[in-house]
Amino acid sequence: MNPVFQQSLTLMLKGMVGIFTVIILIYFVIVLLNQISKKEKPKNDQ
Amino acid sequence: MDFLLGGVLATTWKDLIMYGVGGILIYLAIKKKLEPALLLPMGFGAILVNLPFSGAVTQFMEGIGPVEGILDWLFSLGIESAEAMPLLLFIGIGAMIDFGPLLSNPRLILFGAAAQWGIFATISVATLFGFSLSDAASIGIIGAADGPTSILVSQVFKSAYIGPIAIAAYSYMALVPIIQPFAIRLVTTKKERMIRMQYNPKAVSKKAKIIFPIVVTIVAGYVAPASVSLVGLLMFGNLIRESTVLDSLSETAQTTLVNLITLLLGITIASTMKAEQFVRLETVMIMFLGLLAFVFDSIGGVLFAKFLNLFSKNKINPMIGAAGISAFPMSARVIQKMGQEADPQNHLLMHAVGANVAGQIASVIAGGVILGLVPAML
Repeated sequence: MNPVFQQSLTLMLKGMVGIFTVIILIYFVIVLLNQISKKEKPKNDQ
Repeated sequence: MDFLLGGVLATTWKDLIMYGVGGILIYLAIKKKLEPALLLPMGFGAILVNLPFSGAVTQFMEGIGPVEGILDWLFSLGIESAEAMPLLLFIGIGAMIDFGPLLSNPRLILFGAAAQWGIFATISVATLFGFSLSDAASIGIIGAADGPTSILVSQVFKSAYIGPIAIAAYSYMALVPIIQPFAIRLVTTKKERMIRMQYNPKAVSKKAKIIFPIVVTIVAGYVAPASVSLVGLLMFGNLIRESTVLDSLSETAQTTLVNLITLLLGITIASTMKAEQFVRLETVMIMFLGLLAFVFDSIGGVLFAKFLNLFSKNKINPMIGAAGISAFPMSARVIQKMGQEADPQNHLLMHAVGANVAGQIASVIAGGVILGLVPAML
């Protein structure tokens, strides 16, 4: 198999893992921020 | 009198082709309104740099030596040196984006990641076409559907194809309303396109909107340090917007800064559109691969949404996955339109907008990840 093509497949695997890792971390950040928003809402309501 | 005819006699058939390319870009910008802010300056610039002995680019003058042209100077200052222009443009883009729809529905961010698959699939196809890994990566990043990221990555990799890459990136972004429906129909049924989704937006506090850009920059910085310049400036622009204490700066970033850079970026990129570098078979290949990247992106997003539906009680309309590309807000509008074509009562816009802004974040992260990974593999 073309060695550059092989490298590109490795890049695809590593790249998608890298992107999903950052995105999943950001997902948890958003979930956390939504908890902050929820807690703030009752305070504002009072 | 030879000097009067010197220019005419020095004109080559390749120059004439470039005048034609310039004319087509100007036509598309004015008549078809396709990304006019970029395609018009690029079209005019293509003519400007290909005039024989053009003073707009660096020329060697007998008895004097090299005389620097304004477009080459702009390129070395604004793009070659720290990729300043595309990066500064991100401050304005960040100031324009409201991450509210994404923050109120966090799972949409996953589609931003999935729709970047087209970048990597295109890189693989480009290597089969005989491109080196760094050139293939520069071409694949067209799939980020984000002009400044494409310019930046191809410039960092010193690709000889920066001109065609920029043209492909901006042209296909303008052609999203044609490309995406075709790609989505390839992998969805009408029944799937009819899936309705409830929209129950959660209130997002101001504090959350301010913390978001700061934390995203830190997270991206630790996992993919090469993405910091891209993500950082995007989030800096967004922080200015959400802080609400810098309204005039936010306004300037969204209008004056973006307009000024866009004005110069198009014509500066044109300095790379010299006939001898542009008129070659590789340019045609790049235009084809760029189209492929957009199609693969859309398919990747749709298939990922279908995959999530296997485990999800509340079904996702798979078209939302295709909105995970960065072409904002065109892609979201396309999904809304296609949803209503399948079912006139189907309102997908806000979900699609959420996935679309996720695509903005994911595309710059993809750019950073590629910048981090490829050099280690060369």
